[in-house]
Amino acid sequence: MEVQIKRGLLDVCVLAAIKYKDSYGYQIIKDMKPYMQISESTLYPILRRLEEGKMLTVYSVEHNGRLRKYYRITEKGQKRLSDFTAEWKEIMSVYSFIMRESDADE
Amino acid sequence: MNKQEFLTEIGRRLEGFPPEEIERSKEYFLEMIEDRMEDGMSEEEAVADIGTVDEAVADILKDIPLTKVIKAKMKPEGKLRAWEIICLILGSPIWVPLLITAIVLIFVWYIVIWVIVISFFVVDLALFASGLAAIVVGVISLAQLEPAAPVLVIGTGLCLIGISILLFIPLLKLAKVTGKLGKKTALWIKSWFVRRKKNA
Repeated sequence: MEVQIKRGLLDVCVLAAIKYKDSYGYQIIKDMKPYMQISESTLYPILRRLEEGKMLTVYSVEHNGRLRKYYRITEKGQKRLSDFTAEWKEIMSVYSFIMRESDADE
Repeated sequence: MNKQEFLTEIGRRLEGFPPEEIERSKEYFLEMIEDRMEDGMSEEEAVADIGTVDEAVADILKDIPLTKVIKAKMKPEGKLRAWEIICLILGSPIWVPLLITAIVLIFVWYIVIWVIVISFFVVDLALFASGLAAIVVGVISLAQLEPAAPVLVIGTGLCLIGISILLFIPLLKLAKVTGKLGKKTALWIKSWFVRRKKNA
């Protein structure tokens, strides 16, 4: 996949992983796995970027005698997701147009 | 490698960066390792699964600007001793020009790679403009002269415009490649500063 597209998609995928429920790093990676392979070290700068962009907030929860960081999506993050889906609808309609053309050729 | 070794190594490579930055990335990787171990992996397996220290450090550095990396790595460890300060001052006629040269070289490198691209674009633009001009002149002189010469001029103009349009596509590619080259250079300089620490 093209690097630029993948970068944008990763941001949105991480937001989608915490869309309904707050989550932590390892869980986010596991949730994304069926759709997109991502390593811990790749996730790190993405989480930072999203936090700096105020798309998510971080808080710590005690778990088995240690701290675990949970990520919660903000309103801005939710907006980013809905913007993305709106954009994607447009792209999908173009996609179906492209595919229809190629069907007609055959 | 156990988790302590992994984290110590990350801390060592990032030495000189703001402590909270280092702490943060260590905490992050520690949490990842421990979550894996809870999932049933052994400590060694969990660390191996995270990837290499190199990858981790490269990804941590990715979002930190180049200037910050250099600043962090240039910071002396601990306080300078008196003789070190004297050496620095006495040596300044040597290291100051060298430092300036290094900065200028990096700067010049960026200028050179972009000047090539820009000059190509200017040539392309000139081709397009002269083609346009030729067509305009041809059309105007069509009314005053025998048609042969003006038609030749118009044809030439069309050719020039055609060439400039054809050239534009590979030029865009060239600009893209140059952009990537610039990014690679930045990453190379970053990794040079980090590697220097490792060998020291």
